[in-house]
Amino acid sequence: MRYLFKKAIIFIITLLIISVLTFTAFQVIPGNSALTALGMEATDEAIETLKEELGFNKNVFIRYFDWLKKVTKGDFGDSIQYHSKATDLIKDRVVVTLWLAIISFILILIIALPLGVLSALKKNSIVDKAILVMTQISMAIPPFFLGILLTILFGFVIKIFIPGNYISYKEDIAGFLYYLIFPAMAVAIPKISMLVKFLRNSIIRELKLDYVRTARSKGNDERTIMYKHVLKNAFIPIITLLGMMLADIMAGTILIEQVFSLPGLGRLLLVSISNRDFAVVQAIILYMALIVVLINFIVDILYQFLDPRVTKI
Amino acid sequence: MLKRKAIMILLILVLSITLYGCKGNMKSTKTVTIGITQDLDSLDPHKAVAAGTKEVLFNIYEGLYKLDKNGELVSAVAESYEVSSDDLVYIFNIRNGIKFHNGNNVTANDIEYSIKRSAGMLKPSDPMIAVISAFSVISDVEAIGDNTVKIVLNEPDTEILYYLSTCDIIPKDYAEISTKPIGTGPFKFVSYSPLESVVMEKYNDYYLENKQQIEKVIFKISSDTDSAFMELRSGVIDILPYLTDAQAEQIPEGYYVKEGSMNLIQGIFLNNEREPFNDIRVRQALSYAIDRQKIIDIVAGGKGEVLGTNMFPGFKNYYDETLVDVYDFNPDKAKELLKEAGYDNGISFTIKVPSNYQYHVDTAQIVVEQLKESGINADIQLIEWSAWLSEVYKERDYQATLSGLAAEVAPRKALERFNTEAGNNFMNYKNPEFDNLYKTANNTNDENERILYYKQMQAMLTKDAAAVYIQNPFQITAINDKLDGYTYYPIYVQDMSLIYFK
Repeated sequence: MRYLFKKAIIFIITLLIISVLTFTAFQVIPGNSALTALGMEATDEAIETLKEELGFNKNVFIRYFDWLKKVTKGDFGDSIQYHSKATDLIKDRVVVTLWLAIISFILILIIALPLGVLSALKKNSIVDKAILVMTQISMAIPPFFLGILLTILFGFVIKIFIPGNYISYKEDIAGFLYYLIFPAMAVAIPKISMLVKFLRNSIIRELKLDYVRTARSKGNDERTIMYKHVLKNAFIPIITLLGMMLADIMAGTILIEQVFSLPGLGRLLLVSISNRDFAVVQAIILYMALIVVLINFIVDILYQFLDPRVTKI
Repeated sequence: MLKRKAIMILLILVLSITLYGCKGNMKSTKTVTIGITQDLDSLDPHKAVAAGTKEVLFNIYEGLYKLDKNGELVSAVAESYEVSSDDLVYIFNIRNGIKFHNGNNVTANDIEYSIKRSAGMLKPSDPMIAVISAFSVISDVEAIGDNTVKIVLNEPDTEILYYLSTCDIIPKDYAEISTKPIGTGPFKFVSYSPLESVVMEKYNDYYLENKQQIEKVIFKISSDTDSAFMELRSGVIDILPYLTDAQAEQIPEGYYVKEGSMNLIQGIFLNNEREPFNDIRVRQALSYAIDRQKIIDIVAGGKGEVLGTNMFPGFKNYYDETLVDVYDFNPDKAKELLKEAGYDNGISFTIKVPSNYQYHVDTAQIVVEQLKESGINADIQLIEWSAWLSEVYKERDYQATLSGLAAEVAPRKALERFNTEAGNNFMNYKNPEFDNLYKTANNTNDENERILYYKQMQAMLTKDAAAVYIQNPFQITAINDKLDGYTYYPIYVQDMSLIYFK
């Protein structure tokens, strides 16, 4: 219980620090939302009036605390560009990003786990070497380029994907998920390589440990040793890696949404930054941070469940 | 057992995915999808400032008058007008029976409201409204009865009709204009999802004899030109404007391209108050140091029109094309001028370029190479659009910037910014002679006489080398073979009502 409490406190402090950081970043970067909203023809007078209206002329600290006060009530403010509540905008886009992340994660698991085990079992064989080369290559390709390659491959060579034919989840959930598989691949492939390598090394390390020898001497067959003992232990460090990976996937979606023109949080974030749409940027960053911190939180708890020694530290 | 189940599930999944992929692109035949790469900044016509937004909204809203493809004013919401003999009072007669998309008649009150709203005359005024600065000459707008509107000016303004055409007419006190737009244009609004699309459908009660065939238009918002081009190749997009030269060469089968003038003044705009550009000889040297035709050849495969002054070539009567030849490409002359100005070892400076316009970035790279020949050393600094707006355009904190000035409805717009006191005189150009000419031109009612003044001002801007004018780029559009009627306007417009199926 105390452990959870402590974690919750850290959780809140992390979010606060993030909000201060993004707030500060917005003070430092050039450009301002009033000017961007009113455009090239705006008079100085009009810009001043709008700044006043948006509260930009107040002291930075007062503005931050005003904002914080509203946030605690669930009000993230209004988007200047879209003339609607920041939270409403996010509500629709977060579905896209979350599904993209989930599909990527599933792809990572169903592809990386068998490959990792396979390459550890067939250590130094042709299969292992082929997997190694493939992972090495896919880790070296930048995700946005991978996105373009996948679009060309599935869109114009194999023709099972129509670039740009995105369907909103409100219209057709199956079509929506199908479209997301391809961008999800672009997010997943570099991570798959990472996981395969990690899993392979983890299994090989476990196989060298004493308990494996003991198990063998007791007359267990290799299969039982592998599935009952080695994998269970080899997976514990993997959980941490997966937690970190989820955070990474969230970051990866920002770029991939750009390449595939997906209306997700990442694209909204980029558009809002370039329009200096402060309310939206701040809300999205907090949203993403919240998701990442939550994932870490869950990983911690999972860890505790798998290895009770953790709580005692 | 478990294993078999897992394999079964996997098989079903794979099968359903492949089958789904085979499902064809079900699109009704009367729908046209056009690709845009910039999200809208507002659906409220009085709040939208981006050219990319106005281009789309042109299909929904109309002003009293509107520009046609030749840059001429044609009647829209208003049927006709009369002017008083002192040019101060305009009476507009509303088109008989014209209706908004919601079925209500357009009344004089709606027009009074719309004009007052975009002139900033409504109290309390909404600070988000982009006030049309030329409306400062309007002293009063008054609805007379249901069908006529009287507009009174402080002083005569020969181009006021052009500016009135930029003020879209919307229903009075309609609160949902920015979410559910209502106008009088040939298309009515259906839906908008940020970062996805704007959907419109044909307005059946449009006042013009409805020859348009397109039932539904989808403006599809892509994240950039590369992804938009992919979507064109996959057949999702039917029309894609603003192609790069490289893309135009790889047009997929089933599409053709149409080229037209972009009506943009692309140039290296110089801060006339900053060293070294406070010296006219340095500015002239820069003009001699670049080879404009070569820039067009490299960046756009020769598709562009060399410019010699600050005027939109779309206004054919006003534009003085002879000024193109004032500066030829002559590095020796450039060096000589620099020496005269006391820069024996050449000069170094920074060009700020808005990073969201790849076209300008490409141009800047070639400019930098060309300048080296004349001993001029320039660095490119890429900045975001909103930083450009505040640093370069408003605060005027720059030496040189390579960018474009988009065409506006009235020719005067191109020259207005060079007035010493103009708020948007971001080049800090100061020439009392110019100011006087500008004033005289504005008070001249005779168009031919005014054109003469305008040409004198253009010559002045070229001689003083207020900026290095490069070109009016071409706009290349890819169009599906099934479609025809795509038309270029002298302003930024995507007129979907003219598109038809072959």
